[in-house]
Amino acid sequence: MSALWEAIVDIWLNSGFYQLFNFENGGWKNLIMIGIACVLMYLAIGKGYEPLLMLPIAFGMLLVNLPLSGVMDPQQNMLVPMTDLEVQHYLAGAADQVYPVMEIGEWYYWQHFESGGLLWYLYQGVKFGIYPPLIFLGIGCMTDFGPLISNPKSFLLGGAAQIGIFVAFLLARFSGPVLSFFGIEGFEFTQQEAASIGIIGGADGPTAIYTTSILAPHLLGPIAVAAYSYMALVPVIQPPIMKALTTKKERMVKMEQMRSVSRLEKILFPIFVTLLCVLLLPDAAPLVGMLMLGNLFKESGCVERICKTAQNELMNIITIFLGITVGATASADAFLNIKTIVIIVMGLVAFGCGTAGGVLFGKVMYLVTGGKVNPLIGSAGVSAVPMAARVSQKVGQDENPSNFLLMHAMGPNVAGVIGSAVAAGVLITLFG
Amino acid sequence: MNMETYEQYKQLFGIEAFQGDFEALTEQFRLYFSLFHDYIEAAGKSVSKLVVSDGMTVVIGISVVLATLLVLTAIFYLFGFVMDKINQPKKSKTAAPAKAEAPVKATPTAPAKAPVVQSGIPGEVVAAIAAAVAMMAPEGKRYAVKSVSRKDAGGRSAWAAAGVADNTRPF
Repeated sequence: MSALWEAIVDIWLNSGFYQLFNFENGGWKNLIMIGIACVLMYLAIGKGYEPLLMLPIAFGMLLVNLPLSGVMDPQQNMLVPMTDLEVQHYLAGAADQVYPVMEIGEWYYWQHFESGGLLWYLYQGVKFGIYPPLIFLGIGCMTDFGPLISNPKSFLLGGAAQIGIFVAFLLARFSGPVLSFFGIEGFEFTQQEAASIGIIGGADGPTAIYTTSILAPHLLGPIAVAAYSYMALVPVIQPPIMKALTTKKERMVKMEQMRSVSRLEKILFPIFVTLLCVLLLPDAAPLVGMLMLGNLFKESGCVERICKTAQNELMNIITIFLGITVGATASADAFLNIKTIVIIVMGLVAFGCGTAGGVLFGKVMYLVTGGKVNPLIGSAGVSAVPMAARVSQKVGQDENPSNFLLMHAMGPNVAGVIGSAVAAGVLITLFG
Repeated sequence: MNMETYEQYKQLFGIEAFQGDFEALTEQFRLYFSLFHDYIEAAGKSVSKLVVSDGMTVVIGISVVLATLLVLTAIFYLFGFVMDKINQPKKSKTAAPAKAEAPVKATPTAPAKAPVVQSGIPGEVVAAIAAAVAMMAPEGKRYAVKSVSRKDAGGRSAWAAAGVADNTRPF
């Protein structure tokens, strides 16, 4: 009877429930993270906040914070010294070789191999920078760069909106010394960490994940959650900034119809962009290259099958892997610290500054062109395609119901994707 | 920041610093200000160092991003200019024969007959089909819809038939 009781107690002590409610060992942190994961799942399912990524991120966060699940345990390769008796048996050929044996000089070792968790293996695609460029391949297949080609000055609006990245970088770097002057410690960010926080302002999930996985992989969880949350909140965050920085007269500007773009231009566009961006910034090659390859698949018209695969099956598979593994990096220790709150606040600042930068540059273009450019399209320079362009359309239409800014705003919107990839390349070149 | 200096600074501002005679008090005040000055100078140096190094990073980063996109802007403006030049002679050539033909065919053309529509097909569907056909017409040509009728898809719905056709097309 006592043996049965001992077995039951043993099972209980080795269960996740025990670890979860073992508050002395920090089980309460896991409980909090499980709660946060449930909230994110509600936002994804109930509120529709970027569900394609938010749901796998939330579930990955849930899985990794269930104690003893081991889904993110790394693979272990250990060398365990053999005892003299084991060496004798091995040399006599009589030993049961449970593990392979390694000889180093006169010493013999068992090579212990313990396989890692499922999500650890899938995470290697994030760690080695494979998944985000493949997502960009699918995005390139789905993107029409026609509005950008017909109105090339949209490139500058896309570039201006990336100012938010660098503003957030500066704020993150200054937060440490400024706050420590007042005796508040723990807010120092290295250049790599600050760059990873700043890239949230590009409003581009794959770019943020790619940059963070190279520069500051320990911040991947909070940065991914912040980036996708703010992308979902574009319709909430942007309009007040747009209205505050523009006058009614500017918002009512109707833009001229764009010229038509030939097929030749659409085919040459990805080739030119790749040549220029990659020669200038080789570190931007994976992101810009795959984006342009996808677009070339689409515009060439001769590889319809692989174009369809890239934008459907491949994109869906990579989205699942990327989402769940990024969420699995948000363990309790990595997520529940003061820096996470700073990252979330700085991300919002980066986003706002990016919107403001685009709108202000739009105002400059309004003045330079004599009132032909509506400054609202500048806010679409953040890379949240196509939501940011829709927000420009909606805010413009609120002022003038006959104003259709959507296609004009798509130019800066897709330019922002290129701009954020270039900005990521700059940051990786400088700090990688 | 020199923490030893800061600790000294904190300690010296404690109440016990104000005990003793006037000369000692003056000496202590002189020390306070010297340490406070060192503290501010050290903090200022670390902040100014940050301003220089990270400020330069920001300037370089924004400059590179904007310069890259400026070059792309210039390239595609040039592209548009070249494409317009290439397309312009073609348009003037096609416009001239069109103008030449127009006087020959000066007879008034009869309005196009309305298409014969199978009963049960709404007018909006006919309009949508006509718009789609018009979009497919190459430049200079006009297509007229003559009749609209339902096609028997052999037991499959139209969407299913389209899906099968799409998937089997490469084979």
